[in-house]
Amino acid sequence: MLAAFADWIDSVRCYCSASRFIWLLRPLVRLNVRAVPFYLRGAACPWWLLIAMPFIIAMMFLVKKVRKRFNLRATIAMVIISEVMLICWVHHAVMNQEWVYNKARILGPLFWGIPIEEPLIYYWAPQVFVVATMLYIHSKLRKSKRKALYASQGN
Amino acid sequence: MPRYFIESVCFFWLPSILMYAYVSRLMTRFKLEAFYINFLIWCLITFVFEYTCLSLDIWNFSEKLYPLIGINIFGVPLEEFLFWFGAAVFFPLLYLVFDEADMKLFGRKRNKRASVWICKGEIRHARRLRGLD
Repeated sequence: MLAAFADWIDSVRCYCSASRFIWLLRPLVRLNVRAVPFYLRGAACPWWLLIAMPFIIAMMFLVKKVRKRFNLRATIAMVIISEVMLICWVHHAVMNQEWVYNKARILGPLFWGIPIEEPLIYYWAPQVFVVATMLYIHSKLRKSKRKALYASQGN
Repeated sequence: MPRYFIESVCFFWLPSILMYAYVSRLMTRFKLEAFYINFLIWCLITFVFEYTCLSLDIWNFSEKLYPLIGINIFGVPLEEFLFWFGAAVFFPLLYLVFDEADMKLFGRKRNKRASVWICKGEIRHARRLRGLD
């Protein structure tokens, strides 16, 4: 009974011990000439760039809405910190194979071992988008509250 | 050593706790509410985004050199969510810290637009009381 329970625990642990995507990936991992680990699977299509497009359009729309509330100096400082921190971290993570990119899904050029889409888009646009969303929600909350207050005073 | 987990905690969550401790005292109720709502929205977005990226097979995880901690949510390691959710906390807090620093160092006025709005509202209210509107 106990042995069966231990077996069951082991099987659960085996299933939970790693992502179910990993066993598919491991035999495919290679190193390119600059010793950057990657794998190649599926038809070539730059999904990593394409998937960012709707976000960028939404971000531009939202930033336009809250542009007067944006503190430009704080935003620039945040973007610089984000770029530097994430480039160093992701370079380190890619080289240590913490995560590995599919060469068929990125544009191709690498910046310090990182797909070029990341420093060009992903290290500043989502950050600005997140802050813009927060400022938009803040302005909506404040406006609704003030309108309610004004309506109550008016009545 | 679960390096990805440690890096997510050290780079995103620990600085976020420190920044939150600093910024939360200075934030208004609405700003705090906006921060929490924003966090929930971005948790949802990044959750969907993560599964979309993995189903498109853009990147994947390798435990060749360093293991993951071993907990996964529908096949995705917990570290990945620590990364995405951590980013949704870390970057708004970083912006708020810089915003506060900007106000202190460069003397930028707080809630400039809000004060204009209040003035307009008060004027309109006064006009209404006098029967002008």
